[in-house]
Amino acid sequence: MGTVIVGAGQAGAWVAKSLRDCGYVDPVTLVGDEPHLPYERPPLSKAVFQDKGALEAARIWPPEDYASWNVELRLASSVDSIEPAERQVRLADGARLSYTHLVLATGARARRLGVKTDRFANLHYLRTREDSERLAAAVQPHTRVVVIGGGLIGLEVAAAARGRGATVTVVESADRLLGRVIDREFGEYIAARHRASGVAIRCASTIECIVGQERATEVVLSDGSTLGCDVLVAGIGALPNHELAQAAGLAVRDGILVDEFTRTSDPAIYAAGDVARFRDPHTGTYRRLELWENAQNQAIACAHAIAGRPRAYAPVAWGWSDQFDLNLQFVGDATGGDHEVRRGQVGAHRFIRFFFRGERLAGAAGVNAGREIRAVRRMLERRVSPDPQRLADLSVRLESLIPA
Amino acid sequence: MHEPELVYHAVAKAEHIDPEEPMKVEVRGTAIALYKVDGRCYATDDQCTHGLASLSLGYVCDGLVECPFHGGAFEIATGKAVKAPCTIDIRTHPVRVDDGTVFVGLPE
Repeated sequence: MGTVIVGAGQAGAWVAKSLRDCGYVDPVTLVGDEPHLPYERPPLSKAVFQDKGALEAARIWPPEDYASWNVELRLASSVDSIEPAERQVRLADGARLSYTHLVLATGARARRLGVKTDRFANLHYLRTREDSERLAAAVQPHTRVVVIGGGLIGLEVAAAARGRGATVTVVESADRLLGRVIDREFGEYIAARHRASGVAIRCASTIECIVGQERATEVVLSDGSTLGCDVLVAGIGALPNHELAQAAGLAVRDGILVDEFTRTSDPAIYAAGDVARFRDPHTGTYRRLELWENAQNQAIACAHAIAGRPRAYAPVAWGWSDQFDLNLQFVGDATGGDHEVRRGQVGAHRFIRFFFRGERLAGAAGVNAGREIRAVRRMLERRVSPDPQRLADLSVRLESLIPA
Repeated sequence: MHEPELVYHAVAKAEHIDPEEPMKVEVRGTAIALYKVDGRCYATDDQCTHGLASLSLGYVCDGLVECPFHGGAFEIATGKAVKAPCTIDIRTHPVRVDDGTVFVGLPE
């Protein structure tokens, strides 16, 4: 009967490909509710504003690859339900697909502002290719853009819109930007970079109400001030699409619960990517990583488990964000530590901050320091905590601090 | 199909190219990355095909250059994109070394 994969995004695509790489020969069916071939999402917030070809390039593999792997694609197809007892999924068009193994790679959806705001035609969320195209069309020079949410999505949109000549204000409810990703000092550095380019940043501010009929015309903030707007973009987090799993009786808790081999509470069903809340074997705790590398590598681990070659998945979180001329990268836990050390020059916009918890290197965040961050990823994977003085010393190559 | 005429430009001394750190040079407004793999010199466009990153700031190992922005990789000798998220091959340029000087061939 083979493997059915629900969700034809990055994770679903990598499960399909990896199954074949593992020598799996049974049928593989990849079902997705979007009409597009699997594509990666990071370019949606950035490149689309600059380059029309970027969205096509976001496609992970050309159609002929799926054919050569003998992977059946069912795009623009929704799944209505999973029947674990029958080992079947029921599609919205009435078709039933039987499976030996089922993979849920259903991803996440943008969190909405609220039902009363659904009427605003100029309120945008950013998750799909259509969202990206619609937003790019709406943002022109001098468009007044209000971005709700100072996280990765909000700030990337803000930078890209500003690059297009729009007038941009970011409204963030916390007292700092990127609070879930980096520490306060780093957040202030990012805010300063945005301000230097003319983006207005309003932290510790919430939306009191939005004025308008079919279109939002004005936003009223918690301090009573108002912002005129032509375009509203909300980047306030994502909700895992775990409803199918929940309805089928699988264990869910803000995501589909899986072990370190991506197995759910049903022995024939797996989950991978944004939707999966997985057990970290090092700490025993569960987490969800809404990161590009997790979509890829957890999917590969999933395929290995199905193909009978299970490998424990214990990732070191790693992500990036491109804003203006900054390539921000974060690895491990970069939200702070009990002490830290810096490598490079903040003024030169090329530096890394390392965070320690006691003697242990817990994480790092850097700007325009990709080659060095690569070495830091290896350190964290190997659970190596170099001497902070050497980490800060520019005459020491970080690669030399990783044991062979 | 008419092959474009190539003009070779002197860009660096071969001995100055570090096998672990590509060198960035600019030729007639185009940023080029120079590499040394197993003693041979190679050249590609410097700007990654996946983002606004400079490949000369990338990590080189086993004949591959890994882009510093998002970790994708290209085969230096052929320009082939071999690791996600890079999917579009990087343009390579022919290299000649004459008496220790590296020349890169670019269309007229």
